[in-house]
Amino acid sequence: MTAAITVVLAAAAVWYVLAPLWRRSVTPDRGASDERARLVEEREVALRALRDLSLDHATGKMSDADYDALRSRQEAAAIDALRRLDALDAPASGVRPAAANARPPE
Amino acid sequence: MASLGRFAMLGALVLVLYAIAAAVLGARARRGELVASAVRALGGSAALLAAAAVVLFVALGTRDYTFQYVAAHVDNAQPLVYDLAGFWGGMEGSLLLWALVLAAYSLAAVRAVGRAQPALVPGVVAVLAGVSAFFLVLLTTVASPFATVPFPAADGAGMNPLLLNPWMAIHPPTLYLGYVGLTVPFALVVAALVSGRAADGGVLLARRWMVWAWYCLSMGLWFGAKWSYVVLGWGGYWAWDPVENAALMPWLVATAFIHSVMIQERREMLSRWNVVLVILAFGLSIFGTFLTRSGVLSSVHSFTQSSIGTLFLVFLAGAMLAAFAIVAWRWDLLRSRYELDAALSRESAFLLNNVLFLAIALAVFLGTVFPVISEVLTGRRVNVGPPFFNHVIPPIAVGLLVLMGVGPLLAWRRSSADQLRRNFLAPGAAGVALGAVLLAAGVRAPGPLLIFTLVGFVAGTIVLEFARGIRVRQSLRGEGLPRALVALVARNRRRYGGYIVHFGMLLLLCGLTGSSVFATQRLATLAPGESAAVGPYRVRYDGLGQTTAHGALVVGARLRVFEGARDDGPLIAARNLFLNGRDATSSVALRSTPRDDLYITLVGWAQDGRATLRLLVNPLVMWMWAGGFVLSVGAIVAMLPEARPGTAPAVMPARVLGTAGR
Amino acid sequence: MSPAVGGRSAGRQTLVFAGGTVLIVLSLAYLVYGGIQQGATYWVTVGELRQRAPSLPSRVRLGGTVAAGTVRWDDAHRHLSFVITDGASTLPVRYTGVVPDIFAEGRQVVVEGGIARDGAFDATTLLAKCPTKYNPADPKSPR
Repeated sequence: MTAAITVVLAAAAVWYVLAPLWRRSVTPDRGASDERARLVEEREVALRALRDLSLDHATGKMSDADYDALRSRQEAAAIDALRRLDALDAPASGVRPAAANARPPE
Repeated sequence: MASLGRFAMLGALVLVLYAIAAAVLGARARRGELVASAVRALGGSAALLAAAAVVLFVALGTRDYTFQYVAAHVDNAQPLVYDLAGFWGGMEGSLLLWALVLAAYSLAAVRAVGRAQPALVPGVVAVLAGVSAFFLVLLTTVASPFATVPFPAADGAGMNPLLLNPWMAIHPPTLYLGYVGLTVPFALVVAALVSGRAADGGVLLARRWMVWAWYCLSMGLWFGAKWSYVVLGWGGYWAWDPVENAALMPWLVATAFIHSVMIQERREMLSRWNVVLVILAFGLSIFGTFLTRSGVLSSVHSFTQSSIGTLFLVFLAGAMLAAFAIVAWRWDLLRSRYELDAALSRESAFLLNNVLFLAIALAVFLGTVFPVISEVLTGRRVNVGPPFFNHVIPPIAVGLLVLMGVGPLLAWRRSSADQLRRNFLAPGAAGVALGAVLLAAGVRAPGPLLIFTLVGFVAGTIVLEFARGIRVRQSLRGEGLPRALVALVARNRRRYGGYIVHFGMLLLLCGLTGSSVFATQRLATLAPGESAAVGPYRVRYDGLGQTTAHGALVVGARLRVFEGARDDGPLIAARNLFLNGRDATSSVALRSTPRDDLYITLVGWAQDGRATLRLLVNPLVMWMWAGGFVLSVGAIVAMLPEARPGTAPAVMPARVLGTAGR
Repeated sequence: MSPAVGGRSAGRQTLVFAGGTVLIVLSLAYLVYGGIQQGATYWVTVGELRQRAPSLPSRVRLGGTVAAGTVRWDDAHRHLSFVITDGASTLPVRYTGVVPDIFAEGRQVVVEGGIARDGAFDATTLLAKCPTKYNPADPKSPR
């Protein structure tokens, strides 16, 4: 009884594991999606940094001068990330899908 | 049945070995189908491990004493729930649990990485399969849970009755979720480094997993402390035992990482440091497992008592060497992009925070392995006990407490000194006020006074942060107070979740200080009707009673507690004498209030009905448990994923999109 | 985004950090040294204690097994006496206080204390080890 279960399990495992090798699919070019994932992450980090920066300033931890200087640098970084993401998304048409959803800062 | 379990584990081992080979080959030859096969092999081994676990559970539940492991951890009188919890009550079962949890984590990790950074999948599969392989080798060779005897005994040995407690049933699985959880960030980082394409060393991807593992470790430690307090009957919750320290060390490193990773996110700095922290955390989790399984620190002389210890050390050394070799290989890739802007910034506060946490971890490590070090260096085995830890750690903790208050007052990159000074005033005043109140109330000990003053200060900064944030929201959006509070936390989950966690730590620290410094103790032998006074209480002993429960003779002392004139009700302090003649446990009489705990154990009794009681008053213990709960809430808030905006950013100043930037 | 800030202030910053690091390392070393002095107890075996009693520090940690048939418990004074053995040598032990639940004949124990003038061991702390090899927690003697 145990031997039967064992054999069945073993066969199932072997079949399950080796099956993909028979369906020889071409490895999709993962490069693009990797790049996109990385840029999305970069964008999120940049935006979060901007938001934190404005919160820090609003709660009185930075002087106005410091805030202005840092904010413009951070905005430039955010724009850069957005631009590169847009370029990846729609290289031919040059359309910027993100532009439509601008909202005032928190 | 047992052979099914053995086969399942052997099959799982074969599959993970195949997975390593297929993943590595598939990555090098760029053959996606090999990698897919490797992923399936990982899934298959998980299924086989689950099958093995089911076999063991069934054996435990049906009390199949042909299994040596079952006979060792189950007896006929034990409740079913604890029979099943016996799964992780012994070495072999706990290793199987480890392998099972790792398998589950592996599947989840591969799935997540497949979506976020598919190029890393082969590396992650290879590393996770590699660690699984180690545990499976142990399980199939020296530590099999499926060893059998031909003639089953009529009754098993049962678990140590100290383990028959809900806290102890839940403590190992939770702790394992934490320990094993540290393997995933390790795999991510190693995979990212090997692939050579991630300038952040895979750290940012690993962050989520580290936070989750940290959370589980926190809860595991908390449950362990609660168990120690409620069950062991010595009135304490932490004894600086090697086993406890084994879980504390990775927790400390993970806490350091949670803070320093924020620097990496903001400023693309410290990636080397963070990579090292991830590897170190994993190493400490394996080291911790090693400590609790080899006899290395509890025996008088021998270095390792079993082959398991040696195998663990070999694996640990190999894994650490390999990982650090990879780090060295990719050292240049991990170069920081920026430097620190200013000394007075959140970055430098976090850096100092890291240094202090690692200092504590180092101190704990030194104190824990001191017997081994001293034996190797001087030939004499020397122990350093709690006095060592209580001498070294509190000063460092005070430094961390100060940072906890000052850090949030600093801004990223640069803070103005006079802004800081201005922000200091209100919380500083709160701290001083608290200190003054305590001084007036009669607290004279300088250490606790300092700590409570700092606690007041830090609490003040946290409140200030919330207040200011709410005010900002209200000025922008005109929301009412409750709505603004919720929205503030929801929009800045990591920051405000973190503040809640800090607040929980403050409560914990208060409880720790109160109960360790201001506890009072009394040992009293009373005849029925006599009373003993301890702290603000008077405890009257009313006589002994006997019952049987769960295979034990329970001898209980009936007590009644009075506070001044008020009758606070009855309590029972009991000893459980197990019918196997060997074991005895205490049922502690515990009366908890926010002010203090009245903690009574029955130590002995005489024929004439007199009882010897140990009475303890531990102030503020409830604050510790409350602190753990608050920490949990804060951690969950911080871990909730921020709403994914899809392709459009959620917040973007209009002028940024309109202009080309300034 | 500033790359490494140039020249003088970078040098000064490095100095500050280096100085800070040295300070922290020294403080830690100082603390650890003090901690070791406070907390160190030497491990000995029964045999060593019998042989070298005068030359060992006054406070030692002794591990061994409770010899069968030697446990005496005076309930009225909470006074425990037994003989500890390492298989070869034996030593009588005296202990007053609360005895841990796990304590029993044949079990492994660890005692802390010193040799008294009459040659017996006066234990101030008594810890008992669980017989199973893998024990998730050590029952501790009450403090």
